[in-house]
Amino acid sequence: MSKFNIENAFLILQWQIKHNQWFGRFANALNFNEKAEDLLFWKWPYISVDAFKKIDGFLCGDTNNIGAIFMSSGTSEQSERAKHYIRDLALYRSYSLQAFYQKYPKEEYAVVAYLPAYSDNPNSSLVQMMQFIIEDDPTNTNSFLNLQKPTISTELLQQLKKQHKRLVLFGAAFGLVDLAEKKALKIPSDSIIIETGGMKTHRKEMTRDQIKSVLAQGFDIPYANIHSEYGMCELLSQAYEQGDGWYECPPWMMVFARPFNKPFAEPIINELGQLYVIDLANEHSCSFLQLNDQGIVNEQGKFQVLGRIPSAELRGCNYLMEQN
Amino acid sequence: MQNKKLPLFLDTAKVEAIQNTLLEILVNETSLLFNELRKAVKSTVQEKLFSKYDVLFALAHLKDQLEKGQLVKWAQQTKNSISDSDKLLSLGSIANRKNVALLAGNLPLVGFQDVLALLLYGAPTCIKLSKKDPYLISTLLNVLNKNGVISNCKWGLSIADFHDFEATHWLFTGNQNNFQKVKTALETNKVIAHYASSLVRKAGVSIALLPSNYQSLLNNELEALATAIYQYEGKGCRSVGIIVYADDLALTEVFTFLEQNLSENNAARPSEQHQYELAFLTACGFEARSINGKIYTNDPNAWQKADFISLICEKDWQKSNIPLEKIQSIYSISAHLTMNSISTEIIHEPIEFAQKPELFWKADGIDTLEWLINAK
Repeated sequence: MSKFNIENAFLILQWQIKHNQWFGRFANALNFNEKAEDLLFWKWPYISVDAFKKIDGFLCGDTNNIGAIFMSSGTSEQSERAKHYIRDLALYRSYSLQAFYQKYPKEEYAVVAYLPAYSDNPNSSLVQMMQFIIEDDPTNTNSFLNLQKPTISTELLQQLKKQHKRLVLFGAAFGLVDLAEKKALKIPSDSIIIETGGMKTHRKEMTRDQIKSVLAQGFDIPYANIHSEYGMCELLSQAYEQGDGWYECPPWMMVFARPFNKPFAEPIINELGQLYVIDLANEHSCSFLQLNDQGIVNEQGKFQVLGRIPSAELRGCNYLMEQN
Repeated sequence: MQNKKLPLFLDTAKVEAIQNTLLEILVNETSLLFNELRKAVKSTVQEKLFSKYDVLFALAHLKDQLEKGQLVKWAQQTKNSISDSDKLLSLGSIANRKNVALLAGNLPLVGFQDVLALLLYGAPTCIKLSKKDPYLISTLLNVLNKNGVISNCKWGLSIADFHDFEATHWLFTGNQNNFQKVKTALETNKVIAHYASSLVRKAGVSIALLPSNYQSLLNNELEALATAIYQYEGKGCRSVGIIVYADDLALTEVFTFLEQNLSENNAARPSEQHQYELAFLTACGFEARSINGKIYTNDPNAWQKADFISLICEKDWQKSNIPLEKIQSIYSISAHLTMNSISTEIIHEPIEFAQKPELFWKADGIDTLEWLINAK
């Protein structure tokens, strides 16, 4: 895969500082001097991903001529929902398909999607992405599974055999875990499962390893065939992890980590820290984001996601199970 | 009534015994009991659980309240409230009751008021101490127990310590998110019975009212405001996290007032994290200043983090949509400068009481001892 283009990223940074008024204000407040900082990407401004929650219309220009609005599911207790205004939906289609096919070429894989609860969110970027993948299949093999009675038909299995394709079952983690535990869906043994989204609030929180073990056992496929997708409504790009625990970004995306509470520090390698991202697919909103996730980034730029960052001390007495 | 086991608080001698034993620990520096407390303080500070200043502040306040006889007063006023013979007759026997309290541990001695209420009630009790504050309350309970002024009270750091206790009533501070998780853990371990009644404290922050003629505030009133904001790093529910200022004040004026009166002379530059937060607030269209380690801002949601103080104009209070159940107290900064209250539902107090409340103050508006008496 081609390397991340830092010069391009710098041009986009300059453009977004000029055209995204809030990001521009943020950069000014940090006294960011673009002439001095040049290509030291870690010296650039990275605004908190919460900007998509706190600022309605967080994009370059105004909210006229919008292709779509993506909204987060808003699953945490006091959450406002993040809103990502998409200037050009075709751009999202192009980036998401490219990122997916780089890992799961069209000629080799057929995709079925199982997205309970996400379907209740008409502004879900994930559902839209799956829609694009499914519609992009001229053979009509790709499809959404029936949420009430998910089944892989004999017809579909025959199609897979005829086309020499493997099945990719792409689903919300909590929904797939439900199916796995009930052994409710049979899939070919060489299938790939891509889980996404964690357990949200639907079930008791499980680690990624636990999710993968349950899926491997429940669907009777090798553990190494359980993959994962990292995405969110605030990012138009997705990263994929293909069984080794490390997510890999598409060429126009880069993730790095910094120590906690050190938002200007140099990136750290192979150490737990807060994740930051440059996503050039976010060309009409903001590409330079501080995420609310913690993880580890290795020398190759691949990363692990290890939960949310430890939250800032909240007010009031609060009995916390984890600490007590 | 002769066959009923009645709550301890009805027996003044027993209440005095608890009060006097606690005073012995806190006041008599030559006593061995005091030494035990000194060790507990040392361990707490050495393990960096809390600052020495915060621990001594909390202990000094407890001592002050006990010296004023507030424990006996609490028992007496509760007794008076049920002195009507019918109420006394209908007072439930404590023989059928078992109580559990889970302490949060985010401040030194936090939850000790609930512990005292449980001791005054006198039924079999388990106190789940926090790993964040493991020494102070356990030392006080240890001494009370060794001196025979309390009985039927167990305490420990793990829920498993109270396996099979099957409490009928339990207390804790939390929110909707963790209540179910905690309840399930307690039921699984049979610490509480499945039908147990709970008292859940939810309030997380208090408000200070800044009147328009704030220039007349006295030094002690300004100090009380500073203590209300900064004591315990602003973490407790009685700490001021929101300042509601009079309609005729400009935000810039409020910032100037705060900078002039709350800055320390040798204030350090804001931390990296605070510099970042200030820039983010600016980006979002809010005004913000860093003053003595806290960020003051007109973002009405900022107060949720202990490092932030929200500044809200009185006329914008309704728009801020801050749930009243989150508010513990509303403080007037001055007795002689008044301001309209923003809510009649919340307890109002002078700001001097913010971090030094009376022993029997009502968290979330509920007297724990009264709750124990009246709870089914």
